Amino acid sequence: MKPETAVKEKSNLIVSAANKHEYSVLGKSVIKKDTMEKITGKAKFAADMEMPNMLYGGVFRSTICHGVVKSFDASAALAIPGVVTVRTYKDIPGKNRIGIILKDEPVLVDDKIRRYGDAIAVVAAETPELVQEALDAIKVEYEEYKPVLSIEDAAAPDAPIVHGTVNNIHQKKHLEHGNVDEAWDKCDIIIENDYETPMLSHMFIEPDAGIATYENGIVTVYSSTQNPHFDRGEIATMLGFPQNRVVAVQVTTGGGFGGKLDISVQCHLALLAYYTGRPVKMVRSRQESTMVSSKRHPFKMHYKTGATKDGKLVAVQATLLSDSGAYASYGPAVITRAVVHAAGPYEVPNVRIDATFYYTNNPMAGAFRGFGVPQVAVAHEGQMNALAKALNMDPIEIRKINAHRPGTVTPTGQTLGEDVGFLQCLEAVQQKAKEVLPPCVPTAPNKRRGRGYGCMYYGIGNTGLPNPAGAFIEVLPDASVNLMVGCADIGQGSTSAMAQIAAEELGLEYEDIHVTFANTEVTPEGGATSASRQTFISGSATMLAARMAKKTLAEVASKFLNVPEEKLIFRHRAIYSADDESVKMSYMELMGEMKRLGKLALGCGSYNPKTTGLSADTMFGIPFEVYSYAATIVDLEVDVETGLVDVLNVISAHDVGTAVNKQAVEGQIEGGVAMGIGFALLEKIETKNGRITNPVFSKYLLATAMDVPEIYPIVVESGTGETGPFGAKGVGEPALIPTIPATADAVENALNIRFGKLPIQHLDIMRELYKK
Amino acid sequence: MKPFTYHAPTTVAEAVEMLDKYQNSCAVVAGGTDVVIELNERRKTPEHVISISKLDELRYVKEEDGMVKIGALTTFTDLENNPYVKEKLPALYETAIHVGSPQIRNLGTIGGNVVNASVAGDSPTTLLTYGASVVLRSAKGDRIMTLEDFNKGPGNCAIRPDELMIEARFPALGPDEAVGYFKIGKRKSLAIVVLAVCIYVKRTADNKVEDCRVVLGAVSKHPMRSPELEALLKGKQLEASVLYDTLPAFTDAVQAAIPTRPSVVYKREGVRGAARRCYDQILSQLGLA
Repeated sequence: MKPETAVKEKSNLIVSAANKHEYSVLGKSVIKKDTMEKITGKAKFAADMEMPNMLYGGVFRSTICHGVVKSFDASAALAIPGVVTVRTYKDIPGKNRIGIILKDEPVLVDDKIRRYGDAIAVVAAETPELVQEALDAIKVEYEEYKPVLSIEDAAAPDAPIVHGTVNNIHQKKHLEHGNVDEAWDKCDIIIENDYETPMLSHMFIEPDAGIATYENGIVTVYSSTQNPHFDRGEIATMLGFPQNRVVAVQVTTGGGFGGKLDISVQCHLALLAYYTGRPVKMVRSRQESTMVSSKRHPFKMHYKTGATKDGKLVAVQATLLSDSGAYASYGPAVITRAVVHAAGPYEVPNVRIDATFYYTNNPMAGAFRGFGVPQVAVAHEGQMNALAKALNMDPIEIRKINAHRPGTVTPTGQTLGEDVGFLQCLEAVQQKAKEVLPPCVPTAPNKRRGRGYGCMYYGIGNTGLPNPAGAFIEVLPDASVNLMVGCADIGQGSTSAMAQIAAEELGLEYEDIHVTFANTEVTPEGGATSASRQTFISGSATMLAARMAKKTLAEVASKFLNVPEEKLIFRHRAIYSADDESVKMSYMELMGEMKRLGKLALGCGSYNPKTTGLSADTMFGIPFEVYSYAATIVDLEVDVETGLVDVLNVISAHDVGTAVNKQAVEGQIEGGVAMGIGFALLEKIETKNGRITNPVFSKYLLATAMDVPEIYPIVVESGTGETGPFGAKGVGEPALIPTIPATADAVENALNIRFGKLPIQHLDIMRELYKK
Repeated sequence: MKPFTYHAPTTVAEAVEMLDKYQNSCAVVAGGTDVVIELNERRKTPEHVISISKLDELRYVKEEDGMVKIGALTTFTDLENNPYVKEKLPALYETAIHVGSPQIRNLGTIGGNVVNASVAGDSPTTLLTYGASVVLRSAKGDRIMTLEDFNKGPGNCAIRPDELMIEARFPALGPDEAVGYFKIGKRKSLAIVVLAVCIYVKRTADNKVEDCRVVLGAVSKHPMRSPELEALLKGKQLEASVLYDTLPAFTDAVQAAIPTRPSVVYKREGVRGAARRCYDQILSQLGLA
């Protein structure tokens, strides 16, 4: 099937013919609702909150990574005036196991310590200084076990077992598509390579923090979180409370990137509030936050890719190994998503992927922007670039030959629909490169210049699992609107996107919609702000809620205007007849009529993506309803005297279905490029005996504003409007992914040296350049 | 952070009096960009903290009696914004603008940087190349010590607990003198020194190296002069091709200084690029580029 080509280009917006794109509010670059509060410094984060009679909390953490607590003595701490309570696992009224997918992490250590920094006790005191004094006064004796500190350690036949008694295999997955064994004979060329990606830290700017209260039998926890509805369930289970006696509220959150999906301070705070009856506040230091929040799974990958001499992919076989750390966290989601996406956004008739994740005593690996897809993208794009070189083909052209397009069958056997805009992304970056990139010539004798290419596709929502979200809506008598969504806005702008979607559906303006979000007392389940899912899923729920309210409104308007409901147009605060625009009423008139008739404009909606589970033997099924696509070109120079890389230009095109807020999409792309450069060239968590040795910004280097290149974001709209809210998909994680392999490729091309292992730091460059 | 008593004297005399009183039980804070972190992490647990940030009398850059004198409390932003520094001391200017971030440069002081004596400090390398001395004041009087001697002091540096660093000073440069500086960090800003090279050259009438100082930063416990490189450079014609011929010797010097450190693999190669840029700056400053 021939894909729709771009028919309309407005600056950096490319719209498929199938995307109708006649919206009054959607697609506009509205100013996000939290902008003024944040730029004027008025926004209150959890660390800013104060309550009368408030206590401060702290956590006593293990200084070993594997062993048991032989003795614990808090008497000296409790003797300090102003130290109110010290609590251990013995004080947990309900269940002492938490975890987003598998319940394998203790709130407070009971059976054994599995990582450096495991929580052993919680302390509440009148001041933060007294908390520290109390923590210093606690005495503990450990019995240390031999730690498991690598994949090799974990897989050894005589390895100590981190969880249970059998072995250290945390997850194992196998995907089989076509017939890989027979495919190799049909290949003219076979390329085999190893790849490695590091453990990374989110380094969200706001360390985890929160406050809990216990009043009138209700525990309320305000915290910096990506998923208050999950928090509520974990707190309730720990306390043995019904869920309606726990309220979880997301406070203004300074970034998450997946690192605020796991429980951080919530359960510890709830426990302290429960026992003291007073508000308790906890703010993690940067070190504590980085030490114990989840990390990106480090990957070791081996890829074998076969193709014909014309560059058509025939087979991909890969093995993926990861050290998943001490607890499961989102590991099962990362492995599944990595396996499903491992062949990249290409038609490959024969695919076999084997992945194994191990438990170790290293920091817990979990969700981090992309859930394993950035890791596999390093490999599948490395393979495509190697293939292009070996066949002497243009790196974009070889991708066009193999690109997913409408009707492509994916490695899980899913047939893609019409909303696949990958070819448009490839064409867009190719075109933009011609317009804006200078010749690939170094600017000084000590420089080498290189271009690199990277692509990706990304399934929106959780992989092959139910993950619904809901919305409540009420149109008020003055035609203003209250919208309540569970969706946590951690800065990505979902609140504003929901307002745009509701306004578009109701025919009102963006300013008319007030959004209450991520407060379990008043908002319905939103699921996690992860998996690039909220625009698609909470957005769909919002659209459906608005549609329900609109149904009542349309019935009343239809009678009043004497126009059939299906002929009514709601737009710009008025209701028109589609046949005769002079037949109309204002929204205020409509709400007056509603009042006269005693009708309320209420709506609720919920949405769960149309997916199937994946078969256990081959991972056959429909893991996602829609996929986003992207293509990126990186232009950079390497200084061969210092090994320092200067990224000059990045062109990144993203198929987002329909952009709800175009400027917000561009912002995501720009942020993703900056993070991608850090991933490729700078960032790496280092550990010693399971302990992170660089948990601070001065030792864990992110790209700074000075390292950010000229970025050319391109927005591709392939949405047909049949899926998601007005065809919108997602961009939160896709924004990051293609820059990583493209940056690595550009460095390799500049130097004509293959690295394969990230990050490529200046030290690595100099070592390889001067290797004798 | 362990509780302490905070003092903020407003005159140098008052500060010196306090130092004499508290000696080892106190910590001196200038900009606080290093010390406050040490306090937070309890690497320092003093009973008294003496903030000298109100001592505006220690905030100056001046040329006096043929000496450049820089008050210890002069911030890197002060240096960056000082026209004399930019025009007459380009290597110091280069040093200042590459320290940390604007926020750190606004707070961090030259005195703090010298006394903190970090392996990876920015300004000590440059000051040593300029041939600087430090002025240390105590109730017992002033001591003037070359930075070379100061750096080799017990522990990190030779300041006594009762002393306050008042000033860094070095001879003003004449038209036949030039200093080049190049720092390698891991990224473009907010980067700790991975390696720095600073070279001072005085030329003869026929553009040969009459005198020189070659200093390597972050390859030893403190900035290190290299007698071998200085001997090699002396008498050389100030021409790019001639100077560039000495670059392999920089590799040898680094290899000899840190033969077993893992980072030697990087530093022995990177040092040539840093030195090459120093040479280019020197040739440019002397009008020979």
